[in-house]
Amino acid sequence: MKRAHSALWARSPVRHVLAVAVLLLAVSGLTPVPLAPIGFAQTSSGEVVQKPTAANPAAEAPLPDHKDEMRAQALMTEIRCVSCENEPISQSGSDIAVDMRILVREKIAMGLSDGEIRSWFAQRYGDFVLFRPPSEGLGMLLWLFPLGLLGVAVMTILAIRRQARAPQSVPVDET
Amino acid sequence: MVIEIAHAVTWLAFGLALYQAVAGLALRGPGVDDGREAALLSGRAAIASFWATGIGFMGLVWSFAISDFSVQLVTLNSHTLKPMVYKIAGTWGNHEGSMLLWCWVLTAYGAAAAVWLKGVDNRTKARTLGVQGLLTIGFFAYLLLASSPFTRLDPAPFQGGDLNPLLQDLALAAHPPLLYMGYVGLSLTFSLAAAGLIEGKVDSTWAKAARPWALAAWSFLTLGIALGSYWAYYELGWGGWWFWDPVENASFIPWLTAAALVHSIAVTEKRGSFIAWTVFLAVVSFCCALFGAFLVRSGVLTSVHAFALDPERGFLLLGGLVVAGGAAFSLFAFRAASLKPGPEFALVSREGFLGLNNLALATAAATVLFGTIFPLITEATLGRTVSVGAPYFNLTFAPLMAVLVVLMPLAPLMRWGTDNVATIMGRLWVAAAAGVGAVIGTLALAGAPVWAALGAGLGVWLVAGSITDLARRRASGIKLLKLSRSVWGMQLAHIGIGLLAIGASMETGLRFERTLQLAPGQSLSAGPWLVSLDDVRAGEGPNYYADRAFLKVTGPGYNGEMVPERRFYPAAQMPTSEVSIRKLGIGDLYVALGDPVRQPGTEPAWIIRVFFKPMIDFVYWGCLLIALGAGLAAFDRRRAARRVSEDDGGLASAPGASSGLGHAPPAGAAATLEQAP
Repeated sequence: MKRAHSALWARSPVRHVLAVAVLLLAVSGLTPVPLAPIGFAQTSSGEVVQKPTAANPAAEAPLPDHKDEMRAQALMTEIRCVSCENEPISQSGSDIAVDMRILVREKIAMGLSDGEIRSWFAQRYGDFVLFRPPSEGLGMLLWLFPLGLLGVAVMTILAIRRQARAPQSVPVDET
Repeated sequence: MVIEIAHAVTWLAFGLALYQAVAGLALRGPGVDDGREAALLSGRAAIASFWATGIGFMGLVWSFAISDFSVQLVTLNSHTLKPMVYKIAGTWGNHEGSMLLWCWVLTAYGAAAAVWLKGVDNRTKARTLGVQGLLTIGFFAYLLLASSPFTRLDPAPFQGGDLNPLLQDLALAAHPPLLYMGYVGLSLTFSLAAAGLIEGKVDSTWAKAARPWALAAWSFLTLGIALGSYWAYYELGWGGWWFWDPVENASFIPWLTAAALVHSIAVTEKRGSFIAWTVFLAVVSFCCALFGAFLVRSGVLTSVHAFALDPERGFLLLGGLVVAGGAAFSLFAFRAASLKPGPEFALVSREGFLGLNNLALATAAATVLFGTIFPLITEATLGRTVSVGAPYFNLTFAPLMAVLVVLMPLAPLMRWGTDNVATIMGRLWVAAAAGVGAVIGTLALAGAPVWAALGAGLGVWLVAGSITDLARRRASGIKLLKLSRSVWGMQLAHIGIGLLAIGASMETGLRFERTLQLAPGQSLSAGPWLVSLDDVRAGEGPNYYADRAFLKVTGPGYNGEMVPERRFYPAAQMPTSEVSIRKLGIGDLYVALGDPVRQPGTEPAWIIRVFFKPMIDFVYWGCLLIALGAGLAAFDRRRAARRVSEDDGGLASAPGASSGLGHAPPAGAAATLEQAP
């Protein structure tokens, strides 16, 4: 046992694990070329080579500020297209989705917060358009469900274990 | 004529299933009847029923292949101009045909059990085949009485209505058969559980016999879901691969419960613990599969993937679920008290950690189920329609899975009974370091969001931890190729989950998307890539018209042409999008062609969506490894009882002795001896 243990770290595993770790690291982060500029460093500065003109407006132009645009895109994945089958507006090609995307960018440009934009859409189209269910009323039940279930399950398991163990701990009368 | 023969033999198969059920279930008392004859007869009926259904199914395939429009189903779902492979795939691209396929797979599992189910006594085997026969009867009744694919049409039209063009795709042609092999495979573990309960024999011997079937079904289910996800990725044209759509959830819930089942059943086999829980999971998993079929086919929830909608017949499925599930749960409740608890174990032990795994998976399954049906609940109680989508599922599911992945590398290194976390962590420090390194690397170098970096770090931790375990086993003197298939299977599947976690985190956290509007001759940049539209040309396929955009893309990793297209299928009056994907090694460059934008007086411009999907392949390779691992474990040579198996820990020799808990012989050992002839 002891021998196996020390031999373990002296020999193969360390080499193997390190090799794989290095490989994965290389893939997941160190490889420089395409991953670095995935829209994070570059977008807000001079990436457009041929400037959009009146004849060629970038369709649904992104917001000038990169952070705002990221917020807009995140919101678009949470708002449901009203004319499609269960698709967020970020994914739909329908005209109304295009309009709704433009609305999201407008509201962000106006300085509204994410919460304000959500409730604006909910007021205009109904709660139905929000993929993030509201957290009051029945919605509270939905959000608390996983934790509640986990709690109940853990207590049940503990109770069963205690019950199973109980008969074995028979008190011994010392006389 | 072909379709009448097919219809007749399918009725014959129904009759055979009846015989299978009666022969398997009508046993005399345990002392009188050893069940050998019943198992034999019921098994023969199951095999015959499989062949008969196969002939029926082939008859329908034939009608589709020759475009026999006197068959109603063919008229509604096929077209002469469609390529042959999609004519054939059209057989199961609709409600009736897919139910026939479902029935065929159901009989196939019955027949497979008749031939290959070993290790249980004849009475249990007879009961298993009998219960499987009952399920088959139910589905055949549903097929033949409420969803017959064999209806004639007179007079026959000259042309058909075409299969939904989105379904005219190779991945999607293979998707339903694989998915059904998974879904329906869970019927056999259900039957085994019911049989075990009837006979009062659910122990480690039973678990040993049932485990390969659970693994096989889970493996197929993994493949089916992955293929569906891959199809959504390249066919829907929006670059997503998982939408938390009700139809996806419908397949994912049984996947989660079956994942819990394959772990729980291992504990039951090795230690005789978790018996009631394993049986419960076996029943629940098939019920979830049925519930999924109901959700998908009834249209009670709107979905992007909805197909074959028919509310009334959908609700019949719900009725079947209530009957089958109700009966099984009653049986369970009736017998639960007689199921023995296994030997005691500490929380920090392999059983304990597999228990935590089951806790996480079961909670996740229940959460996905609750979120999926929540809109139905609010509509029924408050009359309010709400949507539960990705934000909810991501926020609740991801933390549960994160906990699961943190614990995953630990369990395989642990001993049964009791162990010590510090010792285990001592062996896993390299994996832990690799994980932390990956978090820092992705944060610092790729600028990933914190949660994505954590997800990738967890994935690396799991992959490295799994390799550590294999290396540890090698170091203890067992050649890697000599390791049992269940060990290899487990670790391959764990590595697959790790890759999936890395791919999913990186893709979600670092994906990139631009929408461009280009007229021919113009260029715009999308991130680091410059995209120029050369021309958009009209083209034609066998049963569609197409607009093809010829794009030049220059930038890191790729300089060349990409040709996304939009198709229009006149028969079905539907447009589809065919994206163009370039593998750059580190991710996919993905281009989709959108609508033309016509303004008076100018040449039309086109909407072009450019995506970069980092490490998306990790998701699919991960899924493939999970399926491969589960398949490998399913084909593990069932070990002889006397041999000390290496996954009881070749290293598990010593210290447990002091605790006195961990090393009782598996509870099933005695039972195994009793049943030996």
